[in-house]
Amino acid sequence: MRGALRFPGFTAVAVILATWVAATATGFVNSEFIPPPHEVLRAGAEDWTNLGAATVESMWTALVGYAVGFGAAVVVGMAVGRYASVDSWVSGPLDFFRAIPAVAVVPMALLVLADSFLVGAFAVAWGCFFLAVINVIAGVKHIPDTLQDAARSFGAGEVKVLRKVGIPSLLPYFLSSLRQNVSVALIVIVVADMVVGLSGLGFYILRTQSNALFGRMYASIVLIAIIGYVAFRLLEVAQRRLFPWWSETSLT
Amino acid sequence: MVGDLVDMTTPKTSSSPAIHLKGVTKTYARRGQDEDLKIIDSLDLSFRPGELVTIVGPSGCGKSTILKMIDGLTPLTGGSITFEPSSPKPRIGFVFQDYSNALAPWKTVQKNVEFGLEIEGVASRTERAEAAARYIEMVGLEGFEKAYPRELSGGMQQRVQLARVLAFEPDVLLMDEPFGSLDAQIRRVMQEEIRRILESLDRTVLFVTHDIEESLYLGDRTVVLDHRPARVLTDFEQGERTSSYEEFVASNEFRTRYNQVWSLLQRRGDHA
Amino acid sequence: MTKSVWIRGLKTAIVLAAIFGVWEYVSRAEMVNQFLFPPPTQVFTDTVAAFTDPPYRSGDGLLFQIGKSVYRAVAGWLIGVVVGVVFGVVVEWWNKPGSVAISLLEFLRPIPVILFLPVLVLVVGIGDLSRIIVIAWASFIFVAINTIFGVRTAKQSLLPDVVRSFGGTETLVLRRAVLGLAVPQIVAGARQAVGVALVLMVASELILSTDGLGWFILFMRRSLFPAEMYGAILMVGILGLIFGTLFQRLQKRILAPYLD
Repeated sequence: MRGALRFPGFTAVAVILATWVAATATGFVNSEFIPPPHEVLRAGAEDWTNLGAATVESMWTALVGYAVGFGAAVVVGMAVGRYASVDSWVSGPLDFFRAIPAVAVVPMALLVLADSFLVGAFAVAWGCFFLAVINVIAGVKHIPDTLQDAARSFGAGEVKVLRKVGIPSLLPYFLSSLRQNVSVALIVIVVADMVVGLSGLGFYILRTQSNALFGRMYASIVLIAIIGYVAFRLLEVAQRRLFPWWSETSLT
Repeated sequence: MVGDLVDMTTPKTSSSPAIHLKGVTKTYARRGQDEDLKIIDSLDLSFRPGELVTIVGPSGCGKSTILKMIDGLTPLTGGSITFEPSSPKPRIGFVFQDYSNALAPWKTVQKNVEFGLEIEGVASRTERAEAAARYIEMVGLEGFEKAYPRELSGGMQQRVQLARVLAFEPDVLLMDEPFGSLDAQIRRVMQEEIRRILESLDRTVLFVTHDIEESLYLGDRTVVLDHRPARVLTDFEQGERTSSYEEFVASNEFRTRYNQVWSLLQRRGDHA
Repeated sequence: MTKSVWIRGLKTAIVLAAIFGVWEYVSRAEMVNQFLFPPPTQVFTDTVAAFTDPPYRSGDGLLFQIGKSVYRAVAGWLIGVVVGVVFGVVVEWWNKPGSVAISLLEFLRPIPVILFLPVLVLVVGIGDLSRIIVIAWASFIFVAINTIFGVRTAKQSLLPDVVRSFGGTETLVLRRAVLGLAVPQIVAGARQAVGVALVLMVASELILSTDGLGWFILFMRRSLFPAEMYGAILMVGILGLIFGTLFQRLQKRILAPYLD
């Protein structure tokens, strides 16, 4: 159990691998559809150049969209959270457009932008923006009033209040929103790749599936899962390291 | 006006300024109502340099607002607040009741105490650290320099806030119900300690509370305010005090004062 | 409804009207490509027409596709909620430290389930089932995690001991104390699952599918009927708002005893 404590996913990975091996070895599942783990590993290594290129492309696109969406959320969220007058005008329309999931705008982006990079980045940005903007607004509303007053009492102007009180108390909200956005960005980029159907990891999955290259397909799925898991955990560790004083009230 | 009138002419030696409130009025606009809510109505009050004044009154009578107006955190609706001498601009330290929201959760005790100096722009790290260390010791928080506020009890958090304000070395100290959220036992300890610290400082201190006992024990002078709009019900000075808290509370002087203030507030409260 | 809610609603309506008004003007004045950005009035009339009379030659209209999508979303969500609650209660109530089930759940949480759709389509076919499984799985994750937290908090409260002191059996403790205390958290999970179910409804219909709202959006873009495409995208948003409001109503009723 000590190992499980140090690496929380250890037991989970062991169980999944064991089930996988057992299921394929006993013939419980059709090993043509679901090859055993070592076959998947071999297939992935065999097609390493294509898989690597697809990964780099998808991740780059997702990263750009993620950064743009998050940046826009910070600007809009800070204005909405800070000024009640802006809030009353903007939050309703924000709720309206937020109801449209990022995956639903992929076809629209494809119609208008007609470029696989732009389509992916736009859709990821859409998804990340609407998720992050809520976090930022919540963060701004949680900047302690009394501490702002204290800073003013020590002679701080509004800019200094923002720099010394506002930004530091917002940072953990930013990071936790970045963390939530990881899975959104991954889902959206994979769906966008599949819909655009030209390149990237999503397309790699579709193509290998239709060519019955199941080993390669699972290799790419496992790769995405690993990327998502690692990014999520890294941001979690960063959060704990950077903001040891910050305790998230709920894990969900 | 009931009680002894305070003689404003006797000077007291202190580097602190005197504070004069003239016709201070504060109203708040009420949503959906034509008439504004008048919290404070042309209030005249003066505080002498180096005086420790407690201001007592029912909750919501505008005591805190007075302090915030003196510190410029809340604008006045009418009247004026002046300092004498008016230059250099006096340094004002404010201790808030809501200690958990007054401290920066991302800063250690040490850094929280340095906060005022940081805002002021004291660049030298060593200078800030030295000032912080001195006042952390004064409020009895040695050994907790590296702790974060959420790891501390309420009383300790309030000590951090106190050290933060003291490190700023203010000419005037404004304390807004600093012990209002603490439990009775901690409160008692803090009251004795704050008295010790404030006596050694020789600064103008305005201490707001709704606890009559606390106001009588701590103040050289006590101002009793009426419920909305705030008016001075009585304003008196107390003699030199050497007794401990227990002795003081058992004294006749205390009992007389207590009953006097209590009946004043009681009578007003009836038709409030 | 209070006055401030009305004012808020009015302001929202004004801003949305302004956005669509500008779009209408910009499109009609041909300041943008009118084919790619048809005016909202055209989007509206074309979309309403497509409800029963779709622009493609034969087949069912938009109304049918919406029904198909809603069926999948609701079915998947329901399955996810039921299985999630049962799983969460069972796992946490008889939880031992280091339980494999919980670490499995934690591990699987960040992995996008949509990745498995191509495999699912191969295994269970191109119809409703593959989409329902995807939606159910994602809903399950959210509900299960929230249920676990809810039960964990409930276990630490005093109510279970109260039931025991009255001589209640452990089943009674579970039924009368723990489940009751866990309800708000479970409802919170079910609420998150509503949003997730809608996203996966559209996502799953964009990939290897032949019907549903997601498919319709993509098909309209491929057949170059932009007005119907925009209309269907807005329909997704409207569905989201309707589901959100319905759930909020339900939530209010369920949680009424928990609020002061």
